[in-house]
Amino acid sequence: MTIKNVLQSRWIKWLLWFVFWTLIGLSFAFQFYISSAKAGLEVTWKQAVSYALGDWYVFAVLSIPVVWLARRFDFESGNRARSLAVHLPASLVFSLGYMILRAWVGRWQSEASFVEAFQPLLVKTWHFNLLIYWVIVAVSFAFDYYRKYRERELRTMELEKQLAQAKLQALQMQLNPHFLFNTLHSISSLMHQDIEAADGMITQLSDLLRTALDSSDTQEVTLRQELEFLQRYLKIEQTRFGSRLSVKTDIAPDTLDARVPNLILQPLVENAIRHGIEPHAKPGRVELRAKREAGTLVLEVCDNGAGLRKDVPSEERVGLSNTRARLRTLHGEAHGFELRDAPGGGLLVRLVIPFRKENSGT
Amino acid sequence: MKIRTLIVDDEPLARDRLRQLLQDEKNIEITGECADGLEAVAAIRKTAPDLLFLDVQMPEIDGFGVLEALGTVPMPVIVFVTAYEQFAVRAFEVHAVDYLLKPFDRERFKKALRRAIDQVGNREGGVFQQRQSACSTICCHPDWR
Repeated sequence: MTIKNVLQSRWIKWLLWFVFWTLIGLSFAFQFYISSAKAGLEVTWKQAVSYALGDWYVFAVLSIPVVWLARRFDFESGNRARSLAVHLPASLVFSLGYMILRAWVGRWQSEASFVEAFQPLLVKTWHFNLLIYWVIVAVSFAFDYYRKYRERELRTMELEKQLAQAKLQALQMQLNPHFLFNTLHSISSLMHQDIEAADGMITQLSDLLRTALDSSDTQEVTLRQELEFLQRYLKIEQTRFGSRLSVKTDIAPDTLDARVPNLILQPLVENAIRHGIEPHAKPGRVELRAKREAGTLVLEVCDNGAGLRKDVPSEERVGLSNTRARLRTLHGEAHGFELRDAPGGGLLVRLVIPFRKENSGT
Repeated sequence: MKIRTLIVDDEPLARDRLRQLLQDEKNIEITGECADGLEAVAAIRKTAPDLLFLDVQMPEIDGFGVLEALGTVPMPVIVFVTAYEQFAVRAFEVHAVDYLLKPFDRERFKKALRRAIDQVGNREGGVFQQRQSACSTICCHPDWR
């Protein structure tokens, strides 16, 4: 959005605001004129419009702080008592404020003094003003709920898109000729030495493909499930690389039931193997760690390869940028995702998300 | 005389597969196995094999890097063994005698081996030079398309 657009939309908002209150004012002017005429009172159209608009423009001005308050103190569960404690006195102040402002405005419309204008307002409009306050609050809430509902809907769509992307990535990894055909070749070789092991590898490859082809859109799985998926992948890679690849896991038992985004670790581990292990002849090690730290779940993937390299082509980082985007959509700012050189050389990817258990909402 | 053969692949199971297949051949002698490009360069310089089964994607330097590093050392006959088909054109440019796509079966392997044995025989017969230049003008072996 350009600045011009912002100005335009803001302009339009205020214009609509003005038109809205003017229409209410005019409808009341009409009603005032008709009822006065019926009662035999002599009121001109000019007077009726001037009085009614006087009433409603004062409401219009006062509604601005009310909307501001309504946005700050909503009635979502948890802050109801506090919000009620704000809105009850605020409605009284609103009513009083209206009467003072209306009496002050009224001095231009009649000869009456401030006190003379104030007294009938106090008697006639006191409770009506309170009602208006709550109507403004209610309408503001309705708008807010609608806005939040739309945001949630968009967020869900975004999440679905990113999950689909993660799955596609997992599938691409498995259908990547380097992985797929080399794995099939390993199986072909194993069949001549150890038919059980070949069998096992076919099963692991099938399980991997099945998970990636799974059409359900489960956003979150338990860490246990995510690790099971990784184990299959790692087992295949270990069979392929033999002694060149060792895997070390250090998973705190109390983290196994924690919820993690589906397929969040796989691109990180794949990245570690492709850039940390494969290009080097020396034995490589991938380490997986999970621990609970003050309300957060900390996941780390570490390799002993070359560490942060500027020469890694940007398309190789696509996996990581999708990871970042997913974390942001799922957890907003309440997440951490960083890449840094590991203390002993190699790359350390550290991921911090709120700790949530499988069966509890929070 | 046996054909002295070197196996180069970073994956142990892939080396196993080639060894299994080559062990059944009476006129092949496996002189060594290498797990990465650098090792391969050293082994070729040291043992000067007649035939080389060469993987492309390897740690440190890849299969083409191995050939570059060798420079003017007498080249063995080369059979590339890889999971990628997109290297076929480049393999042809460096006069590989065949290009085996993983996974492959015994029949396909035999075909490659026969071709390689012919090539080694031709070289020893001194017709290698003509054969090679003929190859680069024809450049349309059916298996490479």
